Amino acid sequence: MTDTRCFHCTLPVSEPVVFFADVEGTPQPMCCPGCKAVTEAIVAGGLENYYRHRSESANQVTDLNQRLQEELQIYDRAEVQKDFVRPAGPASQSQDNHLTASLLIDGITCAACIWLLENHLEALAGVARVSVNLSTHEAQITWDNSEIPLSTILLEIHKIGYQAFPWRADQQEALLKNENRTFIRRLAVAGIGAMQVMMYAIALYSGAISDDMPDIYRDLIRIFSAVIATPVVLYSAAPFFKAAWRDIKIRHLGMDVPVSIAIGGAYLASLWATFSIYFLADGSIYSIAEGSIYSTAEGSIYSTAKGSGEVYYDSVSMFTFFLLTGRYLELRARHATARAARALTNLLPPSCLKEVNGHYQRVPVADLQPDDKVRVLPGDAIPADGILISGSTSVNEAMLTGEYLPIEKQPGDTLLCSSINVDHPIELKVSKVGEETRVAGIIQLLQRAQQDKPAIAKIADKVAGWFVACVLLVAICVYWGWSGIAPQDAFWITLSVLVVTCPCALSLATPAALTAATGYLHRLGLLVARGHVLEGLKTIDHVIFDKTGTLTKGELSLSQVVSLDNGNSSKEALLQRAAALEAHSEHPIARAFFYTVESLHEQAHEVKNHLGQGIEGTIGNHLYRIGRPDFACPAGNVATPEQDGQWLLMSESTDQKLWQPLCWFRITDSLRPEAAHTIQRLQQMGKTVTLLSGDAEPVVAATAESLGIRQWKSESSPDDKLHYIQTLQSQGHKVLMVGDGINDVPVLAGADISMAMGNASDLARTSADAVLICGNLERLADAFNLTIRTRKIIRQNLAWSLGYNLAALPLAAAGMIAPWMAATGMALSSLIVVANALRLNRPGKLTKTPTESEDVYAHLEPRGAA
Amino acid sequence: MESLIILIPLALILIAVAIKLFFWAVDDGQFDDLEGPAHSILFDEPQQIPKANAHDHK
Repeated sequence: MTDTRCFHCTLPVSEPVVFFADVEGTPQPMCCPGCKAVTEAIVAGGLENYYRHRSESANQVTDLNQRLQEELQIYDRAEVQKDFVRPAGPASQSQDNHLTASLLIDGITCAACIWLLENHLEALAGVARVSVNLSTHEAQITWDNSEIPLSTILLEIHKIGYQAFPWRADQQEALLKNENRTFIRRLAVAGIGAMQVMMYAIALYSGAISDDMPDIYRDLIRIFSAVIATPVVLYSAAPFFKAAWRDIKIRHLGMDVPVSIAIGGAYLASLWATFSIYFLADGSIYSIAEGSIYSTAEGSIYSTAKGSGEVYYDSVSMFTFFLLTGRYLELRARHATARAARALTNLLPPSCLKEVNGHYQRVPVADLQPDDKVRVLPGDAIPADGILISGSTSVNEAMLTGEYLPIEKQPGDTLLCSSINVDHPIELKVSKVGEETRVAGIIQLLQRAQQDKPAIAKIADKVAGWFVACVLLVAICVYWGWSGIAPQDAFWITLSVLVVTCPCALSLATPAALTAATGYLHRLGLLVARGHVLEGLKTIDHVIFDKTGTLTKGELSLSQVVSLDNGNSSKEALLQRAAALEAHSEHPIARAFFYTVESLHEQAHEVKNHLGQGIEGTIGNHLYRIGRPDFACPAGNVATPEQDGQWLLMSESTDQKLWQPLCWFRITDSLRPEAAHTIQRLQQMGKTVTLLSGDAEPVVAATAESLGIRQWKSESSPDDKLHYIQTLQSQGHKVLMVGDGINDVPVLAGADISMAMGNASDLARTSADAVLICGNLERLADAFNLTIRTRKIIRQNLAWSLGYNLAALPLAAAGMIAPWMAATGMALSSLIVVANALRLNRPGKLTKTPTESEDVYAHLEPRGAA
Repeated sequence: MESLIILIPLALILIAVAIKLFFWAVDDGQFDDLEGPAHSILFDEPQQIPKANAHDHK
């Protein structure tokens, strides 16, 4: 392998480089026609700056084709647009044709993408305004519908290497947006309030220290502090109170309970200290305060020479602000994953070719009714369950059954929704749509499995419950103890205990670490969609893999060549002839040859495709056949080799009658190059690895053996798989399931933690807890390692914050902590906790993927043009 | 010290105005994207590209 990398997507390019694009006068290497087209489009628009400013490489691009253009034209229909397009500006204005669409853009990697998109689109005639949001990847495009159709804009987005999907701003999305805005408001009120109150607090402290502040100013500052702190407590801290109230109602001590007690208690006490003097006109509080132990000596740390106690407005505001900041970071991480998960569901613009008045038109799949006639082109998904009425083909049902070889279908056979048509265009009569299809049945199984999903207890909750109980107990003891010694001080000391033990750092300890770890995993290519993944991974002792598409790449490749020619022709020459024949077929098997042979040296003529049998053609002056053994050698005198996989026989003939066998080709679904190493790593970590597949026994057995998996189960239906993991769970095991197909979906939902591959079916991706976007299994093992590190960091954080709180507790209980000490300590301990969590962001030891050269056929990988 | 009696309420009014402004900015959507604008300032102004007719791109 060389170091040549694609200028656009920076993936390695194998020598010799075939594609080049001119950028600023220099030809730059390109990995595929897709990237080349995109780069040329960017340069043609005068937007080369993108390459100078980008901080992340772009995604590899697939080719544009006619089909995509047709599909995009569906978005020009008014009834499709009503979901995500609205008129721009008020209707009263004369710009009747201006519309605004909300789109979700896929493929945005850094800020330069935003620049590129905005500038490229705004250069189009008819496009008025484009704004792209880097955090949410949402684009707002305003255009003149009479000048340019939406489909052209969408096509332009595809041309520069991104994908656009309608962003249906549904209720959930509106909710997220609202939540985000409300949170920023709360944060602002708390932040501005905290700053101002702290300024006043400095005046109060310095006045108290030098003891020369007239009472009137002290009271004035206190009153204004109260005015500012009130919205902070009532508005900004409201979520804590609500959560605490909910916790109390369900009798569960969470972190919000002590937080609320501290904020509420300190605030009420401060209010009392500020305003009671005006209600108790006889000054009885003064006398009590003067009699208290704190006002006797100059060594007193409380400034209650002539007051009714201390005010904590500054602590209250700052504490609220800090906690809100922590919660806000958590909220943003949660929103980002929720969006990513939702983006996955938005990714299918389902359409199909339906017969209307004798013509086939592209219509949304939702329009289909039973008895409609539908045409399905090779490579397309079958839109509904139905019966094949004309044409014969083979379909790939791997997503539904796990069977990796395409299955032949003749007229009259049943076709399943979501399977992929492989060979030839076919027509089918729809029998079932929507809820009644087989896929929908699997979805129902999924919902059942989700209800039974075992919950994973969160470590922070456990600590919080314990901690809260302790603090409350200590507070009660302190109050009881002090009321015996100095009853007039008992309330203030108890309060200072509550403030000092405010579990600010404690409540940040876990979320800060989890947020950092989630972000780090995302950059590695593992998207964590549900919160319990990181905390749950450490308890996992069973890892279950699906075979097709998970441990294997889910695409056919040539794995063995057995010559029967007694050495007359080299294997390379035989392969050349086979590839020349297969070049005339669209079948996935043919593609396996295409990727194995770098360049064709021979040409086949008079090629005939015998459906379901094989291919026949002339090369030079010999006739050749390749395909099923009984087709290539009708005499039937060759024994098929014993190894599993699909064996193709190539034969040669001079007279069309006597066929001489030449060579066997073995076609298998190739394993991912890193699979064996990952499984070895998992086993070294002490996890039991199981292979669970819907595929036939010999194939599964061979895969398990070559990967060193001791436990495997073949020919399992989705029900079997679910039952298998539920049995394991009832034995007390914690199960992680990794899969990709629709048939894996119920298991993914039922497992303690589930992970879908990046190229998995949409359904599998949305129902999984995490998605392996990069498709590299090693990241799974890395995630386990990271969990161990995360756990260590969480423990350090908990230890530190608990230690701080426990050390401060006796001091506060003894009445030796001033509010400013408590505030400083709180801030410091929070900062230490956050800084410690950020260490998780530093790249640790990452296991490199086995370099591609170790994989025999990797250098022949499809480069996007597939 | 007497000036405090004017200055402190004045500060309170300023805070109220600041929060009001901030709320307006939030409602205006200025805080919806906290990452993009930080980078976009670094990009040069695009050179004036003549508005191409979209159909030429096809």
